[in-house]
Amino acid sequence: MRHLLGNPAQWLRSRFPVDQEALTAIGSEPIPGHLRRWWWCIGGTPAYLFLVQIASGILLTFYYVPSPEFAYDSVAAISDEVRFGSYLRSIHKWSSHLMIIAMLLHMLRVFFTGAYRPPRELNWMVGCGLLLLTLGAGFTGYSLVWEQLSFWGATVAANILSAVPIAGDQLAAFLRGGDTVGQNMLTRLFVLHIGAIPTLMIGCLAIHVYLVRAHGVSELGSPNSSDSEPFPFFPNHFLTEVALALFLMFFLTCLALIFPADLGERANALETPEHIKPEWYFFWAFRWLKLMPDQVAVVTQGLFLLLIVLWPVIDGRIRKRHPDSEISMAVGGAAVVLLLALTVWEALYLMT
Amino acid sequence: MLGSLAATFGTLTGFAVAFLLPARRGTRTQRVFLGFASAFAPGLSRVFELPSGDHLVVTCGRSEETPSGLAFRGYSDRCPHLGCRVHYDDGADQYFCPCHAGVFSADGEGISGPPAQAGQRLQAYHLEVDGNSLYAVVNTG
Repeated sequence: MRHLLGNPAQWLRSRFPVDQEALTAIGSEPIPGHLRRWWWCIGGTPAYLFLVQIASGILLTFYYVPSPEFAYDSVAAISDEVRFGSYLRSIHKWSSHLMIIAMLLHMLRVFFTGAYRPPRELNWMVGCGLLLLTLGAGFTGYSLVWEQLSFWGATVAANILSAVPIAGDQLAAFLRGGDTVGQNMLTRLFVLHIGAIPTLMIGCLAIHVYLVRAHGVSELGSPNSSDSEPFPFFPNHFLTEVALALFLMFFLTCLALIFPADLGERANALETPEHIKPEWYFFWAFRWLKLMPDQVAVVTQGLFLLLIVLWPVIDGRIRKRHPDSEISMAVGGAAVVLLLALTVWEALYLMT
Repeated sequence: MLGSLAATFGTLTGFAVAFLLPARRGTRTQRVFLGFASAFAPGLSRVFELPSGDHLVVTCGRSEETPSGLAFRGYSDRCPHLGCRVHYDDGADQYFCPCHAGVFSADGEGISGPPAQAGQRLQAYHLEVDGNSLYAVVNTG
Protein backbone atom coordinates (compact mmCIF):
# COMPACT_ATOMS: atom_id res chain seq x y z
CA MET A 1 0.00 0.00 0.00
CA ARG A 2 2.79 2.41 1.00
CA HIS A 3 4.64 1.56 -2.20
CA LEU A 4 1.55 2.35 -4.30
CA LEU A 5 0.20 5.43 -2.51
CA GLY A 6 3.27 6.90 -0.76
CA ASN A 7 1.89 8.14 2.54
CA PRO A 8 -1.70 6.71 2.61
CA ALA A 9 -3.00 9.37 5.06
CA GLN A 10 -1.59 12.18 2.96
CA TRP A 11 -2.88 10.53 -0.24
CA LEU A 12 -6.40 10.34 1.23
CA ARG A 13 -6.30 13.93 2.57
CA SER A 14 -5.32 15.34 -0.82
CA ARG A 15 -8.03 13.30 -2.64
CA PHE A 16 -10.70 13.87 0.03
CA PRO A 17 -10.00 17.32 1.45
CA VAL A 18 -11.65 18.04 4.80
CA ASP A 19 -11.50 21.39 6.53
CA GLN A 20 -10.46 20.13 9.96
CA GLU A 21 -10.97 23.51 11.64
CA ALA A 22 -14.51 23.89 10.25
CA LEU A 23 -15.32 20.35 11.31
CA THR A 24 -14.07 21.01 14.85
CA ALA A 25 -16.02 24.29 14.97
CA ILE A 26 -19.24 22.54 13.92
CA GLY A 27 -18.71 19.65 16.32
CA SER A 28 -17.87 21.71 19.37
CA GLU A 29 -20.68 24.24 18.95
CA PRO A 30 -21.99 25.17 22.40
CA ILE A 31 -25.40 23.83 23.42
CA PRO A 32 -27.60 24.87 26.36
CA GLY A 33 -26.61 23.60 29.79
CA HIS A 34 -29.89 21.78 30.46
CA LEU A 35 -28.87 19.16 27.85
CA ARG A 36 -26.50 17.77 30.47
CA ARG A 37 -29.50 15.98 31.94
CA TRP A 38 -30.10 12.50 30.58
CA TRP A 39 -33.76 13.19 29.97
CA TRP A 40 -32.82 15.70 27.26
CA CYS A 41 -31.28 13.03 25.05
CA ILE A 42 -34.74 11.86 24.06
CA GLY A 43 -34.44 13.73 20.73
CA GLY A 44 -31.35 11.79 19.67
CA THR A 45 -32.83 8.44 20.77
CA PRO A 46 -35.24 8.02 17.81
CA ALA A 47 -32.39 8.91 15.42
CA TYR A 48 -30.21 6.17 16.91
CA LEU A 49 -33.09 3.67 16.88
CA PHE A 50 -33.69 4.58 13.23
CA LEU A 51 -30.12 3.45 12.51
CA VAL A 52 -30.83 0.18 14.36
CA GLN A 53 -33.97 -0.22 12.21
CA ILE A 54 -32.04 0.35 9.00
CA ALA A 55 -29.24 -2.09 9.92
CA SER A 56 -31.57 -4.86 11.16
CA GLY A 57 -34.03 -4.21 8.31
CA ILE A 58 -31.34 -4.57 5.63
CA LEU A 59 -30.29 -7.88 7.18
CA LEU A 60 -33.87 -9.20 7.35
CA THR A 61 -34.39 -8.28 3.69
CA PHE A 62 -31.72 -10.86 2.78
CA TYR A 63 -34.22 -13.60 3.70
CA TYR A 64 -37.70 -12.05 3.44
CA VAL A 65 -39.72 -13.01 0.32
CA PRO A 66 -42.40 -10.42 -0.57
CA SER A 67 -44.95 -12.81 -2.00
CA PRO A 68 -48.26 -13.93 -0.42
CA GLU A 69 -47.20 -17.52 -1.01
CA PHE A 70 -43.82 -17.32 0.70
CA ALA A 71 -43.83 -14.22 2.96
CA TYR A 72 -45.08 -16.05 6.06
CA ASP A 73 -42.75 -19.01 5.49
CA SER A 74 -39.77 -16.72 5.00
CA VAL A 75 -40.53 -14.92 8.30
CA ALA A 76 -40.93 -18.32 10.00
CA ALA A 77 -37.60 -19.42 8.53
CA ILE A 78 -35.92 -16.23 9.79
CA SER A 79 -37.31 -16.91 13.27
CA ASP A 80 -36.71 -20.65 13.45
CA GLU A 81 -33.87 -21.58 11.11
CA VAL A 82 -31.52 -18.69 10.36
CA ARG A 83 -28.79 -18.09 12.90
CA PHE A 84 -29.60 -15.05 15.07
CA GLY A 85 -32.75 -14.64 12.95
CA SER A 86 -35.12 -14.52 15.90
CA TYR A 87 -32.81 -12.07 17.67
CA LEU A 88 -32.58 -9.71 14.69
CA ARG A 89 -36.31 -9.86 14.00
CA SER A 90 -37.01 -9.10 17.65
CA ILE A 91 -34.50 -6.24 17.67
CA HIS A 92 -36.21 -4.83 14.55
CA LYS A 93 -39.62 -5.10 16.15
CA TRP A 94 -38.71 -3.74 19.58
CA SER A 95 -36.62 -0.87 18.23
CA SER A 96 -39.65 0.23 16.19
CA HIS A 97 -41.79 0.29 19.34
CA LEU A 98 -39.13 2.14 21.32
CA MET A 99 -38.63 4.57 18.44
CA ILE A 100 -42.31 5.51 18.47
CA ILE A 101 -42.32 5.85 22.29
CA ALA A 102 -39.17 8.04 22.15
CA MET A 103 -40.67 10.20 19.39
CA LEU A 104 -43.89 10.71 21.32
CA LEU A 105 -41.95 11.65 24.47
CA HIS A 106 -39.75 13.99 22.42
CA MET A 107 -42.87 15.63 20.94
CA LEU A 108 -44.43 16.01 24.38
CA ARG A 109 -41.25 17.64 25.66
CA VAL A 110 -41.10 20.02 22.70
CA PHE A 111 -44.80 20.84 23.01
CA PHE A 112 -44.99 21.43 26.74
CA THR A 113 -41.78 23.48 26.87
CA GLY A 114 -42.98 25.63 23.96
CA ALA A 115 -39.94 24.70 21.86
CA TYR A 116 -42.10 24.73 18.70
CA ARG A 117 -42.60 28.51 18.91
CA PRO A 118 -40.97 31.00 16.49
CA PRO A 119 -38.67 30.50 14.71
CA ARG A 120 -39.03 26.72 15.10
CA GLU A 121 -42.58 26.20 13.76
CA LEU A 122 -41.39 24.58 10.53
CA ASN A 123 -39.19 22.14 12.45
CA TRP A 124 -42.21 21.07 14.51
CA MET A 125 -44.04 20.31 11.25
CA VAL A 126 -41.07 18.35 9.89
CA GLY A 127 -41.02 16.43 13.20
CA CYS A 128 -44.75 15.66 12.81
CA GLY A 129 -43.96 14.38 9.31
CA LEU A 130 -41.27 12.13 10.80
CA LEU A 131 -43.76 10.74 13.33
CA LEU A 132 -46.34 10.02 10.61
CA LEU A 133 -43.68 8.35 8.46
CA THR A 134 -42.59 6.23 11.44
CA LEU A 135 -46.19 5.17 12.05
CA GLY A 136 -46.42 4.34 8.33
CA ALA A 137 -43.27 2.24 8.60
CA GLY A 138 -44.78 0.48 11.63
CA PHE A 139 -48.00 -0.31 9.77
CA THR A 140 -46.29 -1.54 6.60
CA GLY A 141 -43.77 -3.61 8.57
CA TYR A 142 -46.51 -5.23 10.66
CA SER A 143 -48.38 -6.12 7.45
CA LEU A 144 -45.36 -7.73 5.77
CA VAL A 145 -45.42 -10.69 8.17
CA TRP A 146 -48.59 -11.85 6.35
CA GLU A 147 -50.03 -13.59 9.38
CA GLN A 148 -53.78 -13.52 10.10
CA LEU A 149 -53.73 -10.38 12.25
CA SER A 150 -51.47 -8.39 9.96
CA PHE A 151 -53.28 -9.53 6.81
CA TRP A 152 -56.66 -8.49 8.15
CA GLY A 153 -55.12 -5.34 9.63
CA ALA A 154 -53.96 -4.40 6.13
CA THR A 155 -57.39 -5.26 4.72
CA VAL A 156 -59.14 -3.03 7.27
CA ALA A 157 -56.62 -0.20 6.70
CA ALA A 158 -57.29 -0.27 2.97
CA ASN A 159 -61.02 -0.17 3.66
CA ILE A 160 -60.56 2.75 6.06
CA LEU A 161 -58.81 4.65 3.29
CA SER A 162 -61.95 4.21 1.18
CA ALA A 163 -63.77 6.35 3.75
CA VAL A 164 -61.56 9.39 3.00
CA PRO A 165 -63.84 11.92 1.29
CA ILE A 166 -63.48 12.48 -2.48
CA ALA A 167 -60.26 10.48 -3.12
CA GLY A 168 -60.95 7.56 -0.77
CA ASP A 169 -61.54 4.87 -3.38
CA GLN A 170 -58.48 5.95 -5.37
CA LEU A 171 -56.30 5.93 -2.23
CA ALA A 172 -57.52 2.45 -1.30
CA ALA A 173 -56.98 1.19 -4.83
CA PHE A 174 -53.48 2.69 -4.78
CA LEU A 175 -52.58 0.91 -1.54
CA ARG A 176 -54.10 -2.39 -2.68
CA GLY A 177 -52.82 -2.12 -6.24
CA GLY A 178 -56.24 -3.40 -7.33
CA ASP A 179 -59.51 -4.48 -5.83
CA THR A 180 -58.29 -7.21 -3.53
CA VAL A 181 -55.56 -7.68 -0.92
CA GLY A 182 -52.92 -9.86 -2.53
CA GLN A 183 -49.59 -9.82 -4.33
CA ASN A 184 -49.90 -6.21 -5.54
CA MET A 185 -50.61 -4.89 -2.08
CA LEU A 186 -47.81 -6.89 -0.50
CA THR A 187 -45.37 -5.56 -3.11
CA ARG A 188 -46.54 -2.02 -2.40
CA LEU A 189 -46.25 -2.46 1.36
CA PHE A 190 -42.75 -3.89 0.86
CA VAL A 191 -41.62 -1.02 -1.40
CA LEU A 192 -43.08 1.54 1.00
CA HIS A 193 -41.47 -0.17 4.01
CA ILE A 194 -37.96 -0.68 2.71
CA GLY A 195 -37.70 2.09 0.09
CA ALA A 196 -40.07 5.03 -0.01
CA ILE A 197 -40.67 5.61 3.70
CA PRO A 198 -37.03 5.27 4.86
CA THR A 199 -35.89 7.56 2.04
CA LEU A 200 -38.43 10.22 3.01
CA MET A 201 -37.43 9.78 6.66
CA ILE A 202 -33.76 10.33 5.88
CA GLY A 203 -34.70 13.53 4.01
CA CYS A 204 -36.93 14.77 6.84
CA LEU A 205 -34.32 13.84 9.43
CA ALA A 206 -31.65 15.81 7.53
CA ILE A 207 -33.92 18.88 7.43
CA HIS A 208 -34.86 18.38 11.10
CA VAL A 209 -31.23 18.23 12.25
CA TYR A 210 -30.24 21.12 9.96
CA LEU A 211 -33.00 23.31 11.43
CA VAL A 212 -32.00 22.37 14.98
CA ARG A 213 -28.44 23.47 14.14
CA ALA A 214 -29.60 26.59 12.28
CA HIS A 215 -31.87 27.83 15.10
CA GLY A 216 -29.90 26.25 17.94
CA VAL A 217 -31.43 24.16 20.71
CA SER A 218 -34.19 26.14 22.46
CA GLU A 219 -33.28 27.60 25.85
CA LEU A 220 -35.13 26.33 28.85
CA GLY A 221 -36.29 28.38 31.84
CA SER A 222 -34.42 31.28 33.38
CA PRO A 223 -31.04 32.22 31.89
CA ASN A 224 -29.71 32.55 35.45
CA SER A 225 -30.59 29.01 36.49
CA SER A 226 -27.82 26.69 37.59
CA ASP A 227 -27.73 24.66 34.36
CA SER A 228 -27.79 27.59 31.93
CA GLU A 229 -24.02 27.40 31.32
CA PRO A 230 -23.53 26.17 27.72
CA PHE A 231 -21.15 23.31 26.95
CA PRO A 232 -19.67 21.89 23.72
CA PHE A 233 -21.64 19.31 21.73
CA PHE A 234 -18.48 17.32 21.04
CA PRO A 235 -17.28 15.43 22.97
CA ASN A 236 -19.53 16.06 26.00
CA HIS A 237 -23.05 15.60 24.65
CA PHE A 238 -21.89 13.22 21.93
CA LEU A 239 -20.50 10.84 24.56
CA THR A 240 -23.79 11.00 26.48
CA GLU A 241 -25.57 9.92 23.29
CA VAL A 242 -23.03 7.10 22.75
CA ALA A 243 -23.57 5.85 26.30
CA LEU A 244 -27.32 5.95 25.69
CA ALA A 245 -26.85 3.98 22.46
CA LEU A 246 -24.96 1.29 24.40
CA PHE A 247 -27.70 1.14 27.02
CA LEU A 248 -30.38 0.89 24.30
CA MET A 249 -28.53 -2.02 22.69
CA PHE A 250 -28.49 -3.78 26.07
CA PHE A 251 -32.17 -2.99 26.69
CA LEU A 252 -33.18 -4.13 23.17
CA THR A 253 -31.24 -7.37 23.64
CA CYS A 254 -33.06 -8.01 26.94
CA LEU A 255 -36.43 -7.36 25.27
CA ALA A 256 -35.50 -9.58 22.30
CA LEU A 257 -34.48 -12.43 24.57
CA ILE A 258 -37.33 -12.19 27.08
CA PHE A 259 -40.09 -11.27 24.61
CA PRO A 260 -38.99 -12.52 21.16
CA ALA A 261 -41.08 -11.46 18.16
CA ASP A 262 -43.80 -14.08 17.79
CA LEU A 263 -45.60 -15.35 14.73
CA GLY A 264 -49.35 -15.86 14.62
CA GLU A 265 -51.38 -18.01 12.26
CA ARG A 266 -50.69 -17.88 8.52
CA ALA A 267 -52.90 -15.37 6.64
CA ASN A 268 -56.12 -16.89 5.39
CA ALA A 269 -58.09 -14.68 3.00
CA LEU A 270 -61.20 -16.84 3.52
CA GLU A 271 -61.42 -16.55 7.30
CA THR A 272 -61.36 -13.38 9.39
CA PRO A 273 -60.12 -13.99 12.95
CA GLU A 274 -62.53 -13.27 15.80
CA HIS A 275 -60.53 -10.30 17.09
CA ILE A 276 -58.32 -8.27 14.85
CA LYS A 277 -56.09 -5.62 16.33
CA PRO A 278 -53.51 -3.16 15.07
CA GLU A 279 -50.27 -2.33 16.87
CA TRP A 280 -50.76 -0.44 20.16
CA TYR A 281 -49.94 2.95 18.61
CA PHE A 282 -53.05 2.71 16.43
CA PHE A 283 -55.37 1.64 19.28
CA TRP A 284 -56.68 5.20 19.68
CA ALA A 285 -57.63 5.41 15.99
CA PHE A 286 -59.12 1.91 16.03
CA ARG A 287 -61.31 2.76 19.05
CA TRP A 288 -62.33 6.08 17.47
CA LEU A 289 -63.52 4.19 14.38
CA LYS A 290 -65.74 2.02 16.54
CA LEU A 291 -67.44 5.05 18.07
CA MET A 292 -68.83 6.66 14.93
CA PRO A 293 -69.45 6.15 11.21
CA ASP A 294 -66.27 5.51 9.19
CA GLN A 295 -66.35 8.73 7.23
CA VAL A 296 -66.92 10.91 10.32
CA ALA A 297 -64.12 9.09 12.15
CA VAL A 298 -61.65 9.48 9.28
CA VAL A 299 -62.44 13.17 8.78
CA THR A 300 -62.17 13.98 12.50
CA GLN A 301 -58.90 12.05 12.78
CA GLY A 302 -57.55 13.98 9.80
CA LEU A 303 -58.59 17.29 11.37
CA PHE A 304 -56.99 16.24 14.68
CA LEU A 305 -53.69 15.48 12.95
CA LEU A 306 -53.91 18.77 11.06
CA LEU A 307 -54.45 20.59 14.35
CA ILE A 308 -51.30 18.99 15.78
CA VAL A 309 -49.22 19.80 12.70
CA LEU A 310 -50.45 23.41 12.43
CA TRP A 311 -50.55 24.12 16.17
CA PRO A 312 -47.46 26.38 16.14
CA VAL A 313 -49.20 28.66 13.61
CA ILE A 314 -52.51 28.64 15.52
CA ASP A 315 -50.71 29.19 18.83
CA GLY A 316 -48.74 32.06 17.23
CA ARG A 317 -51.97 33.78 16.17
CA ILE A 318 -53.46 33.37 19.66
CA ARG A 319 -50.33 34.65 21.39
CA LYS A 320 -50.20 37.67 19.09
CA ARG A 321 -53.52 38.80 20.58
CA HIS A 322 -52.93 37.41 24.07
CA PRO A 323 -49.16 37.31 24.66
CA ASP A 324 -49.46 35.54 28.00
CA SER A 325 -51.86 32.89 26.75
CA GLU A 326 -51.03 29.39 27.91
CA ILE A 327 -53.89 27.78 26.02
CA SER A 328 -51.38 25.35 24.49
CA MET A 329 -51.07 23.67 27.91
CA ALA A 330 -54.81 23.07 28.03
CA VAL A 331 -55.02 21.92 24.40
CA GLY A 332 -51.96 19.65 24.76
CA GLY A 333 -53.21 18.24 28.04
CA ALA A 334 -56.65 17.52 26.57
CA ALA A 335 -55.14 15.85 23.51
CA VAL A 336 -52.87 13.63 25.64
CA VAL A 337 -55.75 12.63 27.94
CA LEU A 338 -58.01 11.86 24.93
CA LEU A 339 -55.37 9.75 23.15
CA LEU A 340 -54.44 7.89 26.33
CA ALA A 341 -58.07 7.25 27.22
CA LEU A 342 -58.88 5.86 23.76
CA THR A 343 -55.72 3.72 23.77
CA VAL A 344 -56.40 2.26 27.23
CA TRP A 345 -60.08 1.71 26.36
CA GLU A 346 -59.18 -0.29 23.26
CA ALA A 347 -56.43 -2.20 25.09
CA LEU A 348 -58.88 -3.19 27.86
CA TYR A 349 -61.46 -4.23 25.27
CA LEU A 350 -58.93 -6.44 23.47
CA MET A 351 -57.84 -8.03 26.74
CA THR A 352 -61.36 -9.17 27.63
CA MET B 1 -16.08 3.79 26.45
CA LEU B 2 -14.14 2.64 23.39
CA GLY B 3 -13.90 -0.87 24.82
CA SER B 4 -17.64 -0.97 25.46
CA LEU B 5 -18.35 0.27 21.95
CA ALA B 6 -16.00 -2.28 20.40
CA ALA B 7 -17.47 -5.13 22.50
CA THR B 8 -21.11 -4.21 21.81
CA PHE B 9 -20.95 -3.43 18.14
CA GLY B 10 -18.25 -6.04 17.47
CA THR B 11 -20.55 -8.71 18.91
CA LEU B 12 -23.50 -7.36 16.91
CA THR B 13 -21.40 -7.37 13.73
CA GLY B 14 -20.55 -11.01 14.47
CA PHE B 15 -24.29 -11.76 14.82
CA ALA B 16 -24.94 -10.01 11.49
CA VAL B 17 -22.22 -12.01 9.70
CA ALA B 18 -23.52 -15.28 11.18
CA PHE B 19 -27.07 -14.27 10.16
CA LEU B 20 -25.99 -13.74 6.55
CA LEU B 21 -23.94 -16.91 6.22
CA PRO B 22 -26.02 -20.00 5.44
CA ALA B 23 -26.35 -22.25 8.49
CA ARG B 24 -24.15 -25.34 8.55
CA ARG B 25 -26.08 -28.56 8.20
CA GLY B 26 -26.30 -30.52 11.42
CA THR B 27 -26.57 -34.27 11.86
CA ARG B 28 -30.36 -34.68 12.01
CA THR B 29 -31.69 -36.85 9.21
CA GLN B 30 -35.10 -37.61 7.82
CA ARG B 31 -36.45 -40.30 5.50
CA VAL B 32 -38.16 -38.94 2.41
CA PHE B 33 -40.51 -41.32 0.60
CA LEU B 34 -39.57 -41.51 -3.08
CA GLY B 35 -41.89 -44.18 -4.47
CA PHE B 36 -42.44 -47.90 -4.71
CA ALA B 37 -39.40 -50.03 -5.49
CA SER B 38 -41.51 -52.27 -7.71
CA ALA B 39 -42.09 -49.33 -10.06
CA PHE B 40 -38.39 -49.49 -11.02
CA ALA B 41 -36.66 -51.85 -13.41
CA PRO B 42 -32.91 -52.37 -13.96
CA GLY B 43 -31.47 -49.52 -16.04
CA LEU B 44 -34.32 -47.16 -15.15
CA SER B 45 -33.46 -43.74 -13.72
CA ARG B 46 -35.74 -41.09 -12.23
CA VAL B 47 -35.17 -37.60 -10.83
CA PHE B 48 -36.83 -36.53 -7.55
CA GLU B 49 -37.04 -33.09 -5.97
CA LEU B 50 -36.22 -33.18 -2.26
CA PRO B 51 -37.80 -30.85 0.34
CA SER B 52 -34.55 -28.86 0.37
CA GLY B 53 -34.99 -28.11 -3.36
CA ASP B 54 -32.07 -30.34 -4.33
CA HIS B 55 -32.61 -32.91 -7.08
CA LEU B 56 -31.80 -36.54 -6.63
CA VAL B 57 -31.13 -38.97 -9.50
CA VAL B 58 -32.14 -42.49 -8.49
CA THR B 59 -30.83 -45.27 -10.71
CA CYS B 60 -31.91 -48.89 -10.50
CA GLY B 61 -29.55 -51.78 -11.14
CA ARG B 62 -29.43 -55.54 -10.55
CA SER B 63 -28.30 -57.16 -7.34
CA GLU B 64 -28.09 -60.75 -6.18
CA GLU B 65 -27.96 -59.67 -2.55
CA THR B 66 -31.46 -58.21 -2.22
CA PRO B 67 -34.74 -60.18 -2.19
CA SER B 68 -36.16 -58.13 -5.04
CA GLY B 69 -33.00 -58.48 -7.13
CA LEU B 70 -32.84 -54.70 -7.45
CA ALA B 71 -30.18 -52.29 -6.17
CA PHE B 72 -30.64 -48.55 -5.96
CA ARG B 73 -28.13 -45.73 -5.96
CA GLY B 74 -28.85 -42.03 -5.56
CA TYR B 75 -26.76 -39.00 -6.48
CA SER B 76 -27.36 -35.29 -6.54
CA ASP B 77 -27.84 -34.15 -10.13
CA ARG B 78 -25.65 -31.10 -9.44
CA CYS B 79 -22.28 -31.36 -11.19
CA PRO B 80 -19.54 -30.49 -8.64
CA HIS B 81 -17.65 -28.61 -11.37
CA LEU B 82 -19.94 -25.61 -11.97
CA GLY B 83 -23.37 -26.75 -10.81
CA CYS B 84 -24.96 -27.83 -14.10
CA ARG B 85 -27.38 -30.75 -14.00
CA VAL B 86 -26.08 -34.17 -14.91
CA HIS B 87 -28.26 -36.84 -16.50
CA TYR B 88 -28.00 -40.61 -16.51
CA ASP B 89 -26.91 -42.40 -19.68
CA ASP B 90 -28.35 -45.90 -19.28
CA GLY B 91 -26.44 -47.27 -22.28
CA ALA B 92 -23.04 -46.48 -20.76
CA ASP B 93 -24.25 -46.66 -17.13
CA GLN B 94 -22.63 -43.26 -16.57
CA TYR B 95 -23.70 -39.76 -15.56
CA PHE B 96 -23.02 -37.03 -18.09
CA CYS B 97 -22.76 -33.28 -17.59
CA PRO B 98 -23.52 -31.40 -20.82
CA CYS B 99 -21.90 -28.09 -19.80
CA HIS B 100 -18.24 -29.16 -20.04
CA ALA B 101 -18.57 -32.81 -21.03
CA GLY B 102 -17.94 -34.12 -17.55
CA VAL B 103 -18.49 -37.84 -17.14
CA PHE B 104 -19.09 -39.71 -13.87
CA SER B 105 -18.95 -43.46 -13.42
CA ALA B 106 -21.84 -45.52 -12.01
CA ASP B 107 -20.42 -45.03 -8.49
CA GLY B 108 -20.38 -41.22 -8.94
CA GLU B 109 -16.65 -40.71 -9.51
CA GLY B 110 -15.49 -38.19 -12.12
CA ILE B 111 -13.83 -40.17 -14.91
CA SER B 112 -13.59 -37.64 -17.72
CA GLY B 113 -13.60 -33.88 -18.28
CA PRO B 114 -13.08 -31.17 -15.61
CA PRO B 115 -14.57 -33.20 -12.71
CA ALA B 116 -12.06 -36.02 -13.33
CA GLN B 117 -9.17 -33.55 -13.53
CA ALA B 118 -10.25 -31.99 -10.21
CA GLY B 119 -10.86 -35.38 -8.58
CA GLN B 120 -14.54 -34.54 -7.97
CA ARG B 121 -17.47 -36.88 -7.52
CA LEU B 122 -21.26 -36.60 -7.39
CA GLN B 123 -22.78 -36.15 -3.93
CA ALA B 124 -24.18 -39.51 -2.90
CA TYR B 125 -27.49 -39.98 -1.03
CA HIS B 126 -28.20 -42.92 1.22
CA LEU B 127 -31.27 -44.83 -0.03
CA GLU B 128 -33.28 -47.34 1.97
CA VAL B 129 -35.79 -49.93 0.83
CA ASP B 130 -38.39 -50.73 3.49
CA GLY B 131 -40.73 -53.42 2.23
CA ASN B 132 -41.68 -52.09 -1.18
CA SER B 133 -41.11 -48.43 -0.25
CA LEU B 134 -38.03 -46.57 -1.41
CA TYR B 135 -36.72 -43.75 0.82
CA ALA B 136 -33.90 -41.23 0.63
CA VAL B 137 -32.21 -40.39 3.92
CA VAL B 138 -31.59 -36.63 3.84
CA ASN B 139 -29.92 -34.22 6.21
CA THR B 140 -32.40 -31.74 7.70
CA GLY B 141 -29.98 -29.64 9.72
